[in-house]
Amino acid sequence: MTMLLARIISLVRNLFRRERVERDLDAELRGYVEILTDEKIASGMDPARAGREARLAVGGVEQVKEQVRAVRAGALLEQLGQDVRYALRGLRRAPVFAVTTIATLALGIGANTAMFSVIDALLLRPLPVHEPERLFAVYRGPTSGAFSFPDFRALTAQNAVLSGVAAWGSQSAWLRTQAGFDRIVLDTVSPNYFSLLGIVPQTGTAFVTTDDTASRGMVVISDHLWRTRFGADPAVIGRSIVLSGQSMTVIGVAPRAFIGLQPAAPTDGWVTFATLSMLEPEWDFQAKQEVWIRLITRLRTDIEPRAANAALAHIVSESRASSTGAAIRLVPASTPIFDPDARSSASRLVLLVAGVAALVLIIACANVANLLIVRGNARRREIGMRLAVGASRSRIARQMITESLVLASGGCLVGLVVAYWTLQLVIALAPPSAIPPGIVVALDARVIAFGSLLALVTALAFGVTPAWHLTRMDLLPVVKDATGGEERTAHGPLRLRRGLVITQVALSAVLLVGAVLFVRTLSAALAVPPGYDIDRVLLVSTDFSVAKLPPAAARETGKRILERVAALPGVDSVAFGQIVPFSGAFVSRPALPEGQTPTRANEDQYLVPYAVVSEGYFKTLGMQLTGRDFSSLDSESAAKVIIVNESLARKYWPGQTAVGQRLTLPLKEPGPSYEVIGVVADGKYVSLTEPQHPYMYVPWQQMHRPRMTLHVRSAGEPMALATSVRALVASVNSEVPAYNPIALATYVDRSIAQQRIVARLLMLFGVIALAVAAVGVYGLTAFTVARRAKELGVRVALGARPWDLVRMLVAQSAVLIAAGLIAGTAATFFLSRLVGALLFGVTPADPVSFAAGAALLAVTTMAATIIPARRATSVDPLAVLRAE
Amino acid sequence: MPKTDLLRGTLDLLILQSLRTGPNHGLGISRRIAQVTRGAFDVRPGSLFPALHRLEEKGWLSSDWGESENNRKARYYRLTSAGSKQLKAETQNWDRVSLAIARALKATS
Repeated sequence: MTMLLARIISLVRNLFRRERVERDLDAELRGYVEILTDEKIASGMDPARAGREARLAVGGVEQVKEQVRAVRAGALLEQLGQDVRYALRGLRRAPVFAVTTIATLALGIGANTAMFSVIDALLLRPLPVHEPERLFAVYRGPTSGAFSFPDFRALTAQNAVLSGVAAWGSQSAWLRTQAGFDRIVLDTVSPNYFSLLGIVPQTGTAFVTTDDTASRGMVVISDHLWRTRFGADPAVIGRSIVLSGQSMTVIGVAPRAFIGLQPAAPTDGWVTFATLSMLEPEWDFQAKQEVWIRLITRLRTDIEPRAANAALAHIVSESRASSTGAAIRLVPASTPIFDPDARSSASRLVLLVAGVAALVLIIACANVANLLIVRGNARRREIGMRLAVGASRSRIARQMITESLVLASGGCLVGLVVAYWTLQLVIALAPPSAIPPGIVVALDARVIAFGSLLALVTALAFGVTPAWHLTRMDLLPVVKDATGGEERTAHGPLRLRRGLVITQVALSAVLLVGAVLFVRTLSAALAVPPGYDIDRVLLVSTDFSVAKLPPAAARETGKRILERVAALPGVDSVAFGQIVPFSGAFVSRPALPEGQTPTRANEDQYLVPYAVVSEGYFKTLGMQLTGRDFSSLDSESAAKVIIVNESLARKYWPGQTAVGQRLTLPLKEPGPSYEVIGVVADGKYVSLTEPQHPYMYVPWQQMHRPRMTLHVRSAGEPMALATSVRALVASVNSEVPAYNPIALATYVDRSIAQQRIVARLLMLFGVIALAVAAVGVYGLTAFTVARRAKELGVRVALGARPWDLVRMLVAQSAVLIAAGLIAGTAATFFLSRLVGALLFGVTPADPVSFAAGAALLAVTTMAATIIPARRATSVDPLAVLRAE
Repeated sequence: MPKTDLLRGTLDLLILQSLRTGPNHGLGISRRIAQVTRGAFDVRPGSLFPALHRLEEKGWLSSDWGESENNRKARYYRLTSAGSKQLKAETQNWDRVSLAIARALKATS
């Protein structure tokens, strides 16, 4: 291995040796002058004159050097050109080899380049801001990046280490369009946000930094919103738009590259705090207890981040009512990957797929290395001859590596095409949570550079070892042996090929066991009863807050909507629900059996997730209910009632009837008391893979929620009702957005989309890897049989039965396969823990999955061994011995 | 064998020939050439060094750092096995060419 390393180093040095050549040339010419001077002094000349005459004799030193340089550079270029031409000629003569290799590499490089472009856009690309390296996000403790308004003021007030602080926080808002309403992500920022980041809108202007009231009602929109909603119309500047019921003026369009500070969760528009008080008049967002602001700061150029951390430590903790004691620290914000929040906002799925792509590339490299060894073996005689007539080994090695580079370049070019198509596919298939629509994922210069670098690295990975082995071969037998094509003496490539087979088997094991784990996860998840009748349910979200209706009027509007939708033909039943099952939404509050009082310490144990629902909700979702349902009589002024699920009933009143018991919901000091009127069967609330847990339902008339979702049970295809339901809501009140119509079954499906995508990917690549490994084992066994034909012939002549030979050969392969399986399962054992959160119904070390994956691999590769090994039985001892 | 211009081919041949007896440094090589051609060729550094580096790039010479008689650091060139073969081939070629030219000149005169 050290030999190999030394060779690579010398190769690289030869390629980039200009500096050394220069130094050597200087020394050489100096030596020439010195020796000449010595001679002249020796012949009696005085030293000063001798030196002068010697230098004169050399002529222009620089001129000489220039000529030598030209010779060296010309030779290098000429050799490179020769090597490339030689490689191309060689590949043209072996088209099947060339196409196979380039296709394999293109697959590996393409898949990785595509995934890199996604990860680059989400995490790696530096933010398009001015001097990103001086930009820092403020954190409290390891992961908390949220602060209150007073914290922001305290940090702004001090400027010993910071040259500015800007604040931002994300909300959602409604954009009124001709078709209805669009839900957009709106960042509320401090007026200095754009100037601090150094971002200048591509059209229009940013906010006035000095006076926030000047920016009241002003909005800067993102390039994505500008293109998708305003047709990239430059006249949008100054136009009035309606955001969450408020009329606003567009003053600027952000540059295309800027989509907020967390690219994985892109922003559609920006307003300042002055506008937030228009949008959320009832929210005291400046209060000390409202911790929602993120802080971004620019460090003064003369301050080190470490010194800044110390200086900041006391400031925010003083301003905070209940200091958590965690220290303030600055996190580099130049690139999203440094920022814990930005990092966690990127989907785990993307990283997982990238990991699979990396495995595919390693398998591709192992495969190409194998092909190169086979090809090198066929060329042993040619190369042996060239070595014998005096070609230098480094020259031959350089030629072979040039061939690898030519192959890798071909792989890179085709790979970029593969990457383009893969990227389209990935963007089309990925859930919006993994690749948000506003993000710019493209094959830009960075991605192409990555692909090229990858090609270079792969060329070295698969090309150097075979080249090294081939140039180290023993020449004598090659030259003497007229047949020449066969390897008799050098065991290096054989050992290498065994190593490659072990690697391929190991990697296939990782992919196959992974595939089985995810397939089992999927089948386990799909076997879980969700607790609802999820088919034929249409969901349409509504938001009463936009219309600024008081709660009573909102309820009246809601009731009218329920009545009108229920009357639609094709509708079986309809209800409002605040939280949609499997949508990922989840809210909880403390709930205790009456009589118990919570302490601060055990408050968390009493947290129960809940949803606000209307009458008819359980019937619409097909949930089993004992006791009674909510009714229109459970009004705001009537006695408070609640419905709990079986888990909650079991937890609080084990062995008793829950109906008739009382619950208190102490959000603040002593909470109202609710009577349990019904118990509903357990269901799944966020994902199919969650454990059973308590849940409770509160009637909508007794707890006002402005955002409710219509659940519509249809007689036929649910999505067919979408248009009429939306139109109906608009006819009741045109200021109430009815949006995002979707079938409940789609949500359930999406909740296991990650597992499904990963299972498919792993299966696809697992099967490819299995095929590649089988071909590798097959090739090695066939090669061994051919190489040992003579020995096998002798054995048969001495009385060995053919099947003894087969057993012997198979046993040898079995050792390699076993080694690969052990390495692969060990690797999987550690890797599968990383995806443990995505698994369900199986542990990361699930013995069934490991056994199934390993068995599949073992059977396939052993079969691939036996076929060529059987050829050993057809060895004719007479023919072999006669050939001697 | 590619046909190079006569002078460069001649210089290469002379350099290879001069190294047949053992390694030498640049000045030594030019001295030796001057000596064996009885001063007919005075190889100046401007043509000597590019030729030496060119021959090394072709793999006919290899070089090492050594010390001259007066303990001066000098770069010593030696013939490689490829260089010896080249010398042999060039010599035969030269013999053939010079014979042919001599005949041609005789025939016209």
